Amino acid sequence: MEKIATALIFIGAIIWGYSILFMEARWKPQMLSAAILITGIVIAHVWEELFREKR
Amino acid sequence: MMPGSIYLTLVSGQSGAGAAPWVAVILFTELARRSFTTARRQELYMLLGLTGAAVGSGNQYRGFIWYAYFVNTPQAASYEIADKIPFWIAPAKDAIAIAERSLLHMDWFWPIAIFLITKLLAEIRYVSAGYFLFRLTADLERLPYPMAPIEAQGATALAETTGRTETWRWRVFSIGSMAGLIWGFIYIGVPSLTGVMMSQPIQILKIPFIDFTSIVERVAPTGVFALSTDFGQMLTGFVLPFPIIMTEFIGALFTQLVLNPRILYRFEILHQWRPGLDVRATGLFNGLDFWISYGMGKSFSFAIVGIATSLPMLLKFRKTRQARTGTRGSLQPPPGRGDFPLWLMGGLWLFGMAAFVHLVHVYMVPNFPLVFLLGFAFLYTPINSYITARTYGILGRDLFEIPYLHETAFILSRYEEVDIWFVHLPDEDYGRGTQRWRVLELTGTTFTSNIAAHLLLMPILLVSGIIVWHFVWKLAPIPSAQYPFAQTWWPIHATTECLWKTSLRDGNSQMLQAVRGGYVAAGFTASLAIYGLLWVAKLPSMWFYGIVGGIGADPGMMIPKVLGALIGRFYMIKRFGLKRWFMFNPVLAAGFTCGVGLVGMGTVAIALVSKAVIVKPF
Repeated sequence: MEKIATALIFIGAIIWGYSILFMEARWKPQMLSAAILITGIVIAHVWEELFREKR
Repeated sequence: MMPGSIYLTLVSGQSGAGAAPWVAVILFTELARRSFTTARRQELYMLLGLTGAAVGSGNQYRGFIWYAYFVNTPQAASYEIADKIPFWIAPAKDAIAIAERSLLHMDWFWPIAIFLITKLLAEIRYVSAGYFLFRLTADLERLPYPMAPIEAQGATALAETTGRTETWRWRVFSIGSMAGLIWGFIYIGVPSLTGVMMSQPIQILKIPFIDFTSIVERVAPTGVFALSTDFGQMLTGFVLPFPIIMTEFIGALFTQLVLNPRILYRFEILHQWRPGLDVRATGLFNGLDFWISYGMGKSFSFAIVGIATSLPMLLKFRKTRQARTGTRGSLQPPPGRGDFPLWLMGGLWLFGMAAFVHLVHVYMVPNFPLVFLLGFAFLYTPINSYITARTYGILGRDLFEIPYLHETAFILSRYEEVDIWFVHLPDEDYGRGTQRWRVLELTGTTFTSNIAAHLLLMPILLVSGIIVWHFVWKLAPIPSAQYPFAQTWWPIHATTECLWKTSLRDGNSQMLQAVRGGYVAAGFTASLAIYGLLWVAKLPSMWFYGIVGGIGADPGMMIPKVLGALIGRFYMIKRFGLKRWFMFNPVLAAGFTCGVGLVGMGTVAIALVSKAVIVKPF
């Protein structure tokens, strides 16, 4: 789960950077990257709170 | 300290209300110790709460003076809202009460009457609903309220010292007080006293800042840098976590030296700026061009991060509780706590809320759709308050706040009149107040004594606050050279208020044009990306609040705090040791505030006396 969260956060950040640099900072691609980032952040915290101790 | 606090807010922008309760508690514990008696923790806790309420209550009347000023500003006239300010907010712009600068005048009858009624109803609602939710979450659900013991310990620890021969607290407090007296005399005393004698006061250090924006523009156009001269803020730097201050400062420097001039200005996103503008005009134009939108996105990201961090914790709590054989509590209150019947508290809340909605709907904004008021009052407020009460019970903090709720409601209601912006809508949150009841229980303070103390204090504060503001206003016009902070910032606040209050009027306002989806999305996504990347790099989450808080801010305003943080970190901790320094910190800050507050009180007293003296020519 930690790796999935890390990957999603990286992908979200890269898409956001791309949308700013090459897509005139339009809100739709930015919100897509925000959705990916939110998923990554939620997974990160779920892993931290509920699964990390078990490992 | 209330008059001093009001005066200081107008002169320097810092009220010192936060530390005032600790000043009172430290003074009373020392009095008790020197009288060979002990101050009980219940007494100290009550003192803490009541002093905080007393000193903080002064600024609740600021609105009267603000709107008396606002109604006559050129901004209010040019945005065509000067004659649309409701009669229950301020008298008309040509009223005698405003010309004479008097709050004790019949022109103020409706604003003060409506304020007092809404204040009384709000007290009823907050006390009754807070208690009701406390009984549900603490007694029935047995939620632990993890931060309540920490809050209770503050009073308990101080109470324990009154019986001993410990003296460091008094010594540190005295050092802080002397420093506060000296600083207060230089920063507040000299301008205030010379203002009594001269038309233009002498300021040893310019209040509230020295503007370097026109110098900075040579290397960083659109960048702002106004050095805050309130070096009392160094004490805040001592107390706040070092990483937050430094990351905030770096974020602000990056904004003003790189982001604004090299990116946003270069790509003509900041397009209204012209050379030669000061910090206030540059800030306003940059805000309209970009930073207001970006800030909206930032607010939404805080809400999302709050949910993302809190929800798994709530799930974990539920899981561990299910695993335990834990017994469910009951609504039967434990004996000796001074409880009230739940039906009474529920009934009081219902009465307080129904009366408030009636007042708003019938007398204040009769054309605003009632369904929104009812929805906020009887649907949103109970649900929101219960969620917050539960998160305080489990995590000791709020889950999140929904940003721009009012603005969304106004857009959905299609209501275009300006008066709705002046109403306190019934969207309330009683959840955070539940912790206070838990602290009362932990300190052994009966609930009835808490209510009795507030009932005793409330009428005194309601009357004294109005009288103090009346006399402070009589001293000199607000804003004017005698009140430098108000003189610097109130005109710009008037412009901002006009922009907001006209934002929905014709669907084509300056504020609506300023809000752009792409920039809001940029603020939202950039903040989330920063949070996510910090998590990936295993850096503390407090860096997020520092960096994101600093982006868009003025680094010059942070210099005193940064100096305090550096001195604390690299000198004080080495000199005193980490534990002792963090023990000294709050006491030193309380002493400093006491010293500055004394200067504020002294100067306001001298100014009042000088105004009362009539000089005869013989």
